[in-house]
Amino acid sequence: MNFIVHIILPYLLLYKYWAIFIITLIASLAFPVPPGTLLMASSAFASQGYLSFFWVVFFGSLGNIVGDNIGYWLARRYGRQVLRKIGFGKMLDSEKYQNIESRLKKRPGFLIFITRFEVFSNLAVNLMCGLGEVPYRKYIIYELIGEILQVTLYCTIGYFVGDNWEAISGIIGKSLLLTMFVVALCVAIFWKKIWRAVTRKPVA
Amino acid sequence: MMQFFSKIRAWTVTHVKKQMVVIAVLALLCGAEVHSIISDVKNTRQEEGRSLQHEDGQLIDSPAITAPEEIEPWMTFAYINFVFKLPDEYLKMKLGISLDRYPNIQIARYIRLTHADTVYFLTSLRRAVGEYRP
Repeated sequence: MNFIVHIILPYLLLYKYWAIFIITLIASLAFPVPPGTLLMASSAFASQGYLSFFWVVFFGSLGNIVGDNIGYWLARRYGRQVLRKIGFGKMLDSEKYQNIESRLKKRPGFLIFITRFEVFSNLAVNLMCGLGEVPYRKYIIYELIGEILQVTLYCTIGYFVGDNWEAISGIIGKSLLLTMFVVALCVAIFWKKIWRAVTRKPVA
Repeated sequence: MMQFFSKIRAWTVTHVKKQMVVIAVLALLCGAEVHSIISDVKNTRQEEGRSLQHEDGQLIDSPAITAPEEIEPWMTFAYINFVFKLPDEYLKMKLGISLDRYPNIQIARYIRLTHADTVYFLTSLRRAVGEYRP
């Protein structure tokens, strides 16, 4: 069994919904904790009646949402100052970066929604939305929908596979990794077109 | 030998673009992941088949049954009592557990605190759970 999961599962059994809330919150800040695996494990316990499926989904979603909002607001409040201090001021002032920011501000929905399903891109988009001052109302709507769907998906899989949650979790993790490799492959092949499209000045 | 490698390197630098190398590596990684996923799915299906079969080859209903042999040190006594429907006092009496925190304590932590032998305690625990009759 995964070493980190091995350490966290006893806390899940002891502290139940509080553990789910705190672990998903920490995971959404990109600490090396596997949230999908733990949600599936929690739902496997729910399938045995040890936990309630509804409360697992509720606290899992809540932890993710709170963590995402922490990332967004920290980036919005302190992001620019920190980046300037560590030498990224030129990048922030560049025309290409500002074009990317304008595009994100105009239509953040799909990107916010789709990145809820992967931990590192989740945090990266939260930080970008905060830095770019994407309107909070737009951000929270897509973020809420994405997180609730993501948590419900993992919990449903865990609930129905029961004992096999470890194996299924491994397969899902590898599938997500495969998706990332495929995306990276497409970017490597079409990087020039993508770069031109992303950094082009958006139409007013 | 060194001349051969430097010739290869010089040819690679002039004829093979970095982009092609990156694409080739990513394509290999994709292939390896696909192979790994297919193997995992096959293994999981075989495991499901085994867990659905009883010792005498008869199929049983649910793959979610937990047997005493599956008890692991990371579990807690409270969880084991719940899954096997044991009264709280049963394991306490059978294994001589005197810690106040029981049953809300991890088995591995209990073993560490009492300096018990892990293998021996786990065997006793599994036997005690298997012997329980309501």
